[in-house]
Amino acid sequence: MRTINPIYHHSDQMLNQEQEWIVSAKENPKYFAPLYEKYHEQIFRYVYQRMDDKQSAYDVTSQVFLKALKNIKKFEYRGVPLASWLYRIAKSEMNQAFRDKRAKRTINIDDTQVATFMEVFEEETNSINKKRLFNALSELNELDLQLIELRYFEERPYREIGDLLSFKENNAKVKTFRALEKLKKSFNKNSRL
Amino acid sequence: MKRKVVYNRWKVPSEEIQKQQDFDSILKGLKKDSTGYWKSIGFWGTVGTSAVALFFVISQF
Repeated sequence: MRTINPIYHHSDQMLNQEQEWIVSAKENPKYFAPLYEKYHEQIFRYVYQRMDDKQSAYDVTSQVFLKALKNIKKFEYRGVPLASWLYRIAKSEMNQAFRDKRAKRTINIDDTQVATFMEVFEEETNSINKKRLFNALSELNELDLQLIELRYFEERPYREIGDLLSFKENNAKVKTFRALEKLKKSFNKNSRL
Repeated sequence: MKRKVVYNRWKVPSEEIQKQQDFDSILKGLKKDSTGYWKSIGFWGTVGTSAVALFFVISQF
């Protein structure tokens, strides 16, 4: 598993460059363009991973950047990339879209991720176990599902997970471990499928 | 919240996502939004209430 997410973790030079763009964008919104270009794809992918409809994901992504532009003057630099703030806006915009029924909450999973879980659960990868896993994922509460998605689907470091969900790094680690335990329990409960 | 599980969905290529980038429309949205506030009920409601309150304060003296 990848331990560093290169998109999120920046060198000092990259952070300084970003900081300059933010200062300029606070003066004039048109200078937000390089930040939009830099983060558009990763915010779209984050949103689309949790939605079933591509167009809705594009719409939510646009809303995220519109909201970011509206609030850029209030943004305070805390030594982490702007992505961290954008992801939190994306999370809130997505939840609003789910509440308004403009989009459907979706769990996107592929072969590799299924294989990872089977390895963790020490089970064989077959169609029955796949179905058990899908049912177990559907039964998780929203926070546990988010933790599983961020860690096991998107391979994000705990520091970043904590940042996105407003936990300390250590707390994110403990909560993710508990979420995995719950998933495993639910998976085993579905053994008679 | 009901969830749908999608297995092995086709990955959207980066080129397609880049084609959807439209910073100008975001800027237009921002402009529209900030001008829209002047026409909103919230704005005129606040102005109206403040004006009435000010009138009563002044008329007391």
